[in-house]
Amino acid sequence: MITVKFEVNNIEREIEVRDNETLLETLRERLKLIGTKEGCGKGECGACTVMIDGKPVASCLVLTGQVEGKSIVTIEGIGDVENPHVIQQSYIDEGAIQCGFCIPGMVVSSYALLKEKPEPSEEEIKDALSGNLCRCTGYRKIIAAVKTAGKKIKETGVEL
Amino acid sequence: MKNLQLIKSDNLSELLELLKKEERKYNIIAGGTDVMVLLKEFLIDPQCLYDVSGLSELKEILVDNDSIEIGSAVTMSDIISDSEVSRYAPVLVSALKEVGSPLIRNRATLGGNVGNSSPAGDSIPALFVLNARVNIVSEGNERSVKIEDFILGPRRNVLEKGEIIKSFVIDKMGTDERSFFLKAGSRNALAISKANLAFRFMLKDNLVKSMNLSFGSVGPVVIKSTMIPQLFIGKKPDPGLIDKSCSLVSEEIKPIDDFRSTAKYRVKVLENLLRKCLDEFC
Ligand SMILES: Cc1cc2nc3c(=O)[nH]c(=O)nc-3n(C[C@H](O)[C@H](O)[C@H](O)COP(=O)(O)OP(=O)(O)OC[C@H]3O[C@@H](n4cnc5c(N)ncnc54)[C@H](O)[C@@H]3O)c2cc1C
Ligand code: FES
Ligand code: FES
Repeated sequence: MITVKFEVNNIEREIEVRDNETLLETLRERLKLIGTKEGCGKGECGACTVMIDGKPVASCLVLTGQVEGKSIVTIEGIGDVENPHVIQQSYIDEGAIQCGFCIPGMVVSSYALLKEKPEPSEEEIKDALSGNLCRCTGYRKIIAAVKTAGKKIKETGVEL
Repeated sequence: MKNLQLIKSDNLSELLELLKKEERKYNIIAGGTDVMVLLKEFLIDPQCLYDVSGLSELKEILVDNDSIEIGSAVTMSDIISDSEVSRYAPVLVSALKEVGSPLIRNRATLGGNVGNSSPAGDSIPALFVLNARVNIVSEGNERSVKIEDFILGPRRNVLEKGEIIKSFVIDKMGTDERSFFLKAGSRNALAISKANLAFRFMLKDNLVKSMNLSFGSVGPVVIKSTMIPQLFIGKKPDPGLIDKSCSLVSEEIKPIDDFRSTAKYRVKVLENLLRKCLDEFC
């Protein structure tokens, strides 16, 4: 076991984890942040997307021992049912959610993109979401949701 | 995943010292995008992992008069967004943009791509045409080898026990040079290459002054073309030369007939990719 000190959704954590424990396991099993999903477990689907120091990554391929001193943001740090983030609200408004399994990862990737580029082109949206697979929606509505979210963020001046 | 020990350090010499004394079976881990998959699939079974992802000594990009040194633990995303690398080694940036997805590129390192030594590693053909040298360090020792001598076969390289890749030194391309990286996979994102090529050349007074060409994913290791540059150097490129060079592709490569693609298909794909590059500059 090793002790790791890091920040999750702005809260300092110091926890003991197994040496071979993935960040995904720590988030879901130890911290009960079950919004982050496990799909393939091999970096291919993006269901497990979280941000490390602002960059979206596949948490199934990261060892918790590797995130010492880093800041992690999960879907729970972006918004919840009572207080959905504009990005989440845009996904709902555009009808971009079907089964919902891919959505936490999609929203985290969308957040990271919009923070860097408030007005992304369609190509930039597609590239930013290219590691997040969706079996249900066919992506069109997801892309529309990201565009809408970008507009709303600009209009309302919310800080990401 | 099997139990193992994770060993970290924020100091390179300390890590190298530990590594030298290590008697157990170990693996280096950087971004983990290959290692974690191999561990989960039980394709490797180390007793410990040495994490180099936190070593600041391996995370620098240094630009010199005629070369650029890129630390082995710099992530692909950081290389792509570096303005000097984009300006002086655009072929490397084009290659890295083809890797996986942003989720992968935000973790994956250049050291990991080369350390993994897969014939499908997208950075490798680009490093070939940039005449990359691999700087290797171990406790009390440093050596440097050419990229084409570094990789010995699929997943095999010259690293000895206790050694890690410190950095890569690549040519700075001149403003009068052009380059391409082209990849054929089965879909746009997240596709492992079926065939790829990196191409760098310079024309002077309409004649080919220099040309570097390499093919990836088609043999056990990346291949540096010798016949095709020889054919062009000193000549004015024309459709006849292009046809001839495309017919040399099958002589230069020994394509692998694996599950991803058949050999014949790979040769055809490479011929087409090459023709695309050559048509651009003729
Ligand atoms: C979904 C997915 C898609 C992918 N798509 C592509 C793709 O399109 N193109 C492509 O080329 N690759 C692809 N990859 C493979 C992988 O992302 C790359 O090879 C990546 O560059 C590995 O870097 P890493 O830092 O994650 O390496 P790790 O997994 O940490 O290490 C890889 C290997 O290199 C060794 N190593 C790492 N750093 C060093 C060092 N400093 N010194 C010595 N040895 C070292 C390790 O021991 C290991 O053997 C993909 C992987 C996934 C999971
Ligand atoms: S679960 Fe991590 S990418 Fe699929
Ligand atoms: S909504 Fe079902 S996988 Fe995307």
